[in-house]
Amino acid sequence: MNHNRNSRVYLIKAIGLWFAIVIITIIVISPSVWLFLTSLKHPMEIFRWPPTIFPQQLSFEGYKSIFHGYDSRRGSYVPIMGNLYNSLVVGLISSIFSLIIGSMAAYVFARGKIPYGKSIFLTIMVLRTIPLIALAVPLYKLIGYFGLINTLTGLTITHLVITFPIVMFVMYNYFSLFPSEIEDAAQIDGCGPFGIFLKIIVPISAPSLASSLILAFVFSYNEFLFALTLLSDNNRMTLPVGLASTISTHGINWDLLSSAGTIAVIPCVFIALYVQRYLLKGLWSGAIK
Amino acid sequence: MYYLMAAPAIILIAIIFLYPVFYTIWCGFCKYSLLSAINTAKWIGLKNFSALLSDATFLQVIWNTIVYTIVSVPMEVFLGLICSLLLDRSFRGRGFVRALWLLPFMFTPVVVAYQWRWLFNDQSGLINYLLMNLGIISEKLAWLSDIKLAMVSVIVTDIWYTTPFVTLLFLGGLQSLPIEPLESAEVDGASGWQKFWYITLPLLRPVMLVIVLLKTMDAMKAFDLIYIMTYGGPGLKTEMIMTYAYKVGFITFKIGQSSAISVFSLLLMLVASGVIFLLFREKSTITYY
Repeated sequence: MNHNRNSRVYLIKAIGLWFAIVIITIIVISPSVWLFLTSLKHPMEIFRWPPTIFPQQLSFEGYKSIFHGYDSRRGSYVPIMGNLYNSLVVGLISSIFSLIIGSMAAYVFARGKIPYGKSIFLTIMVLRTIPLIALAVPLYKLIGYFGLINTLTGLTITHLVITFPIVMFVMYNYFSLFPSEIEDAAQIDGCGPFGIFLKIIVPISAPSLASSLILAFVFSYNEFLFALTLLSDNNRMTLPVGLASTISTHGINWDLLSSAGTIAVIPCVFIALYVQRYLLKGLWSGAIK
Repeated sequence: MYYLMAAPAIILIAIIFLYPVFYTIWCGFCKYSLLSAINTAKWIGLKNFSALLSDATFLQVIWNTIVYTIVSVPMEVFLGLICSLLLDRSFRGRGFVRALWLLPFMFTPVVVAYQWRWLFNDQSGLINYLLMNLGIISEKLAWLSDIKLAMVSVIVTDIWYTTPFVTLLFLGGLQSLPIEPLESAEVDGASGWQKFWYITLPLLRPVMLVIVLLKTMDAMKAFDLIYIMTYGGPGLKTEMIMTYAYKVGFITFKIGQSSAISVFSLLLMLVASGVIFLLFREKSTITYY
């Protein structure tokens, strides 16, 4: 009897759990699924009321215009693929640059190789919380001084503001948990500090270096404000500003925009899937306890 | 040699963080407009700040930012905690569900903003359709251009977008908690609810403090979502400190005033973090074990 009651309570709990899981899953994925389904609809079908859930007639008009770079129905250029390319280039260069400078410094700071390493690290973490708009005006002037406004070079430099602290955060935490015996052994074998770092630390830390690079890249890829203030030429824009400017010039073309949004989000999906497992493990390591 | 390895990072911090911050603070005390004939900064003391504080628009903007922060952050922390507790249980397909739930945290904010702008669309938006079918509303609502609903809409979007990140942080925190206190409570016959309330929650306090701090800072810096979804409208109903600072600085080119807004927002964030620290310290007199 008692056993029976227990199993019923267990069943109710299990149903409740699954109910909650299904509801939350629907809420989490439906906005993105809805955008994707919209991107497959014919422009005439998009604004129908009541809205159709699944496209009645598959249409790839939006994707076609994006890949051709030209919207034949409206007779206008669509620089989305170029914008995507710009985003990838800016993100890669600024995060690689941050990785080289940041990982070396993170190693030196985390290992207490120079005085005040920890304070400098904490200062960077505080500076990171400053709103970007507070940095945007002076950086705009600085970039302008070198004649780099409306260039991807200029934007790449400002994106160091975003990528550098992320590399610093990930690599500092990693190096502060790293055992030092290997380095001691190498030191006895006559390696200099830079030699130890390059020949021993870098190969061992490759997975962490890769994760910090990927994270930094995503934050640069997603960045909007600096790109908005620095870039004015459609062909030089990164994807977020490119999307925003598609709108203001010809009203909102939801067929085009939903396709572009879907394309823009695909790299994020793969990266998020890869990075979340790493983040779960390493996030709070050493922070509590 | 170690100094040489850290030098590029320190130079970089000086150029992209320290110089801009001090420049902005200095500009906050200057009359400086890129459009006027006098194209150089002129020291005017605290006049920018006194002008801001007597400006009804700015007060409205601060009020909006506070409302946005105070409503969205607790909701995100609450929902994120629930989601992470659900994901911390073992059930079949957990890895898959976790991957889905955490997915949005790396999405490009601009794309997220468009996703939701499309869901909230007044002509054929999915949200109007669902709410009308459920009998909650009787006619189509113009969510983003309605004086009362615009703020609700952007807050809902922010909750959808940031809760996965909060979930990730909580989940990482839950998994790094020591297991012994929970085990001994089990031996003592504590119920699931008691274990959560008296052991897990107090142990999570440091994690929660960091999350609340991070999310409060982020909410006070809200820019991308607002810029795309409402551009601060209708009227001033969703204008935030950052969107306002952007408009003053880069649309009307009043650099002095825009800098003063930035400085003011920094002070506001400092006050907010102080309040959060106080809130969390007050309760920490409870003993954990």
